[in-house]
Amino acid sequence: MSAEDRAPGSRRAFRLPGATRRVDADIDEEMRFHIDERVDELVARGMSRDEAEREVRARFGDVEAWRRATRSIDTRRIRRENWLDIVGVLARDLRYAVRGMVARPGLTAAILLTLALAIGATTAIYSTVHSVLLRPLPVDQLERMLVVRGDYPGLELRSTDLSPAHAEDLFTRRDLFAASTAYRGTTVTLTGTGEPRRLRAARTMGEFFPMFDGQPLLGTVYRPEDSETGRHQVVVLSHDLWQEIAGGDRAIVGRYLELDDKRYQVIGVMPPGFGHPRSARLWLPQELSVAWRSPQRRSSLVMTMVGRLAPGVSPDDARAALAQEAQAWHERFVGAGYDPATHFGLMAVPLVEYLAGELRVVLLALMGAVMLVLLIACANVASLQLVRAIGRAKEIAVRGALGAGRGAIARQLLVESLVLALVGGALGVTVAALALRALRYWAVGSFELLQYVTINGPALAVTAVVALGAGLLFGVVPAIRARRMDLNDVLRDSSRGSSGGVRQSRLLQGTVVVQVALTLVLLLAAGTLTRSLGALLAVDPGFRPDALVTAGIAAQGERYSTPDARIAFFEQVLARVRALPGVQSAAVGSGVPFTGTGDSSPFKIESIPVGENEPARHANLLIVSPRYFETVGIPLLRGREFTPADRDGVPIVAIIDEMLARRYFGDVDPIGRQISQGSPATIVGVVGAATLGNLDEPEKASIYYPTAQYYWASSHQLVVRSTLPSSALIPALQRAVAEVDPNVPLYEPRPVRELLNRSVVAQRLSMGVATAFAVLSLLLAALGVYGVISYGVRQREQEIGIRMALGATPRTVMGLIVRGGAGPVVIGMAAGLGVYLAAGRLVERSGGAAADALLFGVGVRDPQTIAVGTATVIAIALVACVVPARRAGRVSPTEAMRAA
Amino acid sequence: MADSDLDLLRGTLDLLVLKTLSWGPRHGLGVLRWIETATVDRLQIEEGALYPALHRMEAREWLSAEWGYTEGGRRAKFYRLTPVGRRQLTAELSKWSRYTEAVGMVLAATGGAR
Repeated sequence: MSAEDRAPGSRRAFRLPGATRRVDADIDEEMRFHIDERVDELVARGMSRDEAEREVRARFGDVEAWRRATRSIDTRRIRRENWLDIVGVLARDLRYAVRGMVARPGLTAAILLTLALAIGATTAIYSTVHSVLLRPLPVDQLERMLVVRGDYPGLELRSTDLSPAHAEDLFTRRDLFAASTAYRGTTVTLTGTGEPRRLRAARTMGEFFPMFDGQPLLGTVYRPEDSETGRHQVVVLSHDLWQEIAGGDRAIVGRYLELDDKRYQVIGVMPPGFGHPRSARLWLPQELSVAWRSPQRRSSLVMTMVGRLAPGVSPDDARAALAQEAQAWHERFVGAGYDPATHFGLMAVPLVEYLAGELRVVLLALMGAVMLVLLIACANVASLQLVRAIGRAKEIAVRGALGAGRGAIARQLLVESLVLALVGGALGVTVAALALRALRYWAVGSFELLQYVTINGPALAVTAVVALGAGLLFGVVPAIRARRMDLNDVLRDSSRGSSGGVRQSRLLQGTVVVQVALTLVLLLAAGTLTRSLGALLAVDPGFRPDALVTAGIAAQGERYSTPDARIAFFEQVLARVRALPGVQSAAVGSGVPFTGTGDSSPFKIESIPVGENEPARHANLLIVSPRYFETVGIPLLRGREFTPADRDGVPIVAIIDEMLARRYFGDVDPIGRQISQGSPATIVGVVGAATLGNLDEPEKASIYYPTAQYYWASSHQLVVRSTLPSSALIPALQRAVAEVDPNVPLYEPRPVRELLNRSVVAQRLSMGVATAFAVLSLLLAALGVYGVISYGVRQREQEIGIRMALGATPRTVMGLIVRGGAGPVVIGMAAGLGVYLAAGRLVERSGGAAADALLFGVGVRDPQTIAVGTATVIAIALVACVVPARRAGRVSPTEAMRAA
Repeated sequence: MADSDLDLLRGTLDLLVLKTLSWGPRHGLGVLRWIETATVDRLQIEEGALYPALHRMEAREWLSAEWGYTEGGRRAKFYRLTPVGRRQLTAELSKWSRYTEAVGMVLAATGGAR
């Protein structure tokens, strides 16, 4: 007998373990019959009963042994049959499940879509949070690592790098840090291996490799003492650079490379996974020369210092000790060339937080959004499953009446829910993978951390369990309850009056309230972020970013060791670039907006004394060539631009921006006045204030100097204004530079507009994702409301029929249905608005630069956003109500009555 | 009876049981009695060995079993040959005859053809 031809849910003859007992009894009885018969037989032939029993037992053999042998055969058989039975029943349940899913394609699609999107979105975001915020580096004791930052409250420089000498001092604090390192990102030019290459590199000191778990693949890594002058010309290559320049030749170790025209010996190659800082392609010791250790160089804040806390030291202990250390430095260097006017402090930030930077707030916000989406999805799946289950109450009651056990029905429903869950889960994984791919594509070049995000297994598991759990719970429980209902009630149609029906309607309406409320919260948040981004993009950057291309260019090495050689080189390059067809103007400079090349330093204006409580005078120090302002599109307000006549040997000139002019000169004409940022210069012009890097930050004033007078700079940004598309312009620029010197690379060429857009990528990202989530949740909520209203219509078909028979028009019936749906929607909207306003107040109050960046130029209580958001939810809810209501209006009274 | 003897006999016992049941359903003892009668008590087996054999064949679906009552009014388990069992009997029979034929040929050989 196979499982196939048994009625569903009927009892099998054998079931373990009860079955074994039955088997034993059967075998016993069978053998006892044999023995008793035999004994009777022999007694009948005249043997005494005792004798007969002995004889029979002798002929039968060891009864116990034969019983055991027989029993093991039977048990094995039962086990096999049970297994086949289970497989057969499951296969049948599966067929039913698939049939059921196909029979209600709309409902099935809605549930699958909900599960897929919820699981996918949650997993993608959580995976991102995990790899950016929780485990950005595959390093031991990551959570014990602190970044030590400098702090100049007087200069409004609240988080600076440290000088190599600062870092070296802190390295000796073994009581605080068990291990410590400092590094800085830089670029070097590699020559002698084909085309000259400009490579991102890291100069490191201290225990860099041990701290970041850097075991070399080949050769060795350098040690802290290799930072001493004379030992420092060694280099460790990344795996991909080794492949690129040596094709994976192991003989690279020991060879020499020309970096910025100096010879460095390759001592090791790192394995493929190693990458800190992420963009570094080679690692060099940071030289600690006598000059670097001089007190004057303590203002060269270039090193990112990371320390791993010593055992038993808490971050707060470290902060306190660092404050004392800063105080000690202050005392030691006062009067020794160290500017006493600038108070200097030290702070410590967890490395994980430091690496995440502004992504941290964005990701936490997204995490909140995604939790809401998950909740909405759960409510949605729950309501859809409820509708499904209620719709099947009749079927289940009938099956119960026909003898299907509660277990069998539960199993059937469980299998159905599981099939839905598994298909939904598989779709969810696909959605997550796609979402992460989109994220990577979006984040190219702006958030390197995002490039390395992969799907996080545990996150996937947790979300899947939550979403599927909701589905199972609401799919199976109501159905089981239906089983318990009286068949007569159900078949007579339990529309009105039955307590189960009322409770389920309440539950359904509850899911609508939750969905509407959360959707409104998301929609309002997305609206606020969108308005914030719009405000940010509407900020006037102070220059014309379109049709502008910039690229790095460095005149470094022996050939350019003299200022004259460098000046001549840049002039030749500019002459050739300006001669290119389609080029309107070109210049070089160190302060090109959004290229991240600007230096800030204190300045003095002799004619204007410093006021009592005036904050320290600090401005960007930017070096630009003639025609720079014309090229970039910064308007000249007074005086003149730089000219080729502003060169070495003539008095130094400077151009200040409007911000500085207004703040310090007021109504006085600054032209002809002296300003000093190191060496005194005469102001010859005033230009408009331009944004250098952040649209959302108040800019610092800027002072510009001519390249020919500030000739110590060897690398600049080339900026070109041209009507040509950048794809055509960039190769032409590269050729022009190569004609002047084939050994100088033109690196990272990019349209400035692209750089500007990238600077708002955090806002763009959060707005994009929040909007996607809001649309998604709108969709889900619409589905939920629709499902609940349609269910209500089906339940009330008879009532509607009677009403229409008594003269109600389709119009009044529709009104009735829509009004019924309006209740939970209105409650949900009120709750949603309340939650949004409370959360908004929390964000505003917590404040911080990141919150400001996300809420740029808009209040949380922006009436326009709230109006649009609520209107959208009302509109969608109305549509979701009206569609089933129209169906109600078409109910035929006679049909409905007959159905009763 | 030793295990090795049982192994040797197992195939034979199966064949005897199948053959016996081919005449109609019987309980275990009935099968045994029929074999005794047919062989005039010449084939003596340990009687308990019958039951593992019956149950094994039941598990293989060569036999089906049912509880019923004997003429004397006792409850007993009756075995019946299934269609599968009937096919098996045919196969076993031809195997048996090939086997006995081969053994017979060996035993009848004169040993002259060395």
